Amino acid sequence: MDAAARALAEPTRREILRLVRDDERTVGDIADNFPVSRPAISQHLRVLEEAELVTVRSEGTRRYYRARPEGLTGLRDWLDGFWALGLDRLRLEVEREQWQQRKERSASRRAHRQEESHE
Amino acid sequence: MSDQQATIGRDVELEISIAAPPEAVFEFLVDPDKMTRWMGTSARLDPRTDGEFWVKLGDDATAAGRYLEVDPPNRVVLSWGWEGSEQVPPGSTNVVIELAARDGGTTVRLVHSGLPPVEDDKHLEGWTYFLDRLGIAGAGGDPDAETPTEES
Repeated sequence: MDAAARALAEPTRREILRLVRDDERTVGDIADNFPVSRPAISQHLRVLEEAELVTVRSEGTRRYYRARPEGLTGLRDWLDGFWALGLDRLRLEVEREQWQQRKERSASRRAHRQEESHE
Repeated sequence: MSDQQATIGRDVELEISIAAPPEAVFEFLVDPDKMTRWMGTSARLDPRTDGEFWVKLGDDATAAGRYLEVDPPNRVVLSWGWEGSEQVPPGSTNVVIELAARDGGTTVRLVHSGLPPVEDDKHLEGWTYFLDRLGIAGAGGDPDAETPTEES
């Protein structure tokens, strides 16, 4: 998931992903849509490919890129992880408080008993 | 859009058991001091219908929304988004937290819904933003630390 999040953190890459969502396109075709150099677009495509957000099909010397929507399922997994971690912390904190309160209650009961026995 | 992508559009749904009564757990959802013991570094909470829900998770990440339902000690519904975000504005998603007494403890069920479908361009931006914020907050695994430590 980290790779997908990092890949998507860059606006040009999100734009590229949008371009190849429904149609496969070549690097040149994609580069025509941006005011940046073709090598820069190739670099972005490599990042997207490594993050498994696009697939590549070679035909002769041409490489065709297309979005791979399954690559995005990781986003939801990541959020699952965030909340799972959060709930786990919630559990720890609540249980720690319960334990603390029980300890204090029994300590004060003991103190109470001691006071009474002194009287 | 194909049906294959149905899993992408699902809500986040989680359940956990806590060895404490619902009343004790509930406090951690409505009291700022207790909230920040498990989520965020500072919080402004006004736990009544339409009351403020504001939790600072990191330097550049503040979750903001409203309490939509407050039913102690059973249920809290929040709207949730990010302060200063156009893509996922405050209150644009929903978090439902339900507490049920079970075997002397509490079962907590959390559902985060209304999340942006990733299929849509605009929503892809939303997701990226959303996770960026959470990533900052979640980095290092210790929300109490000023900066996440590299070692360990």
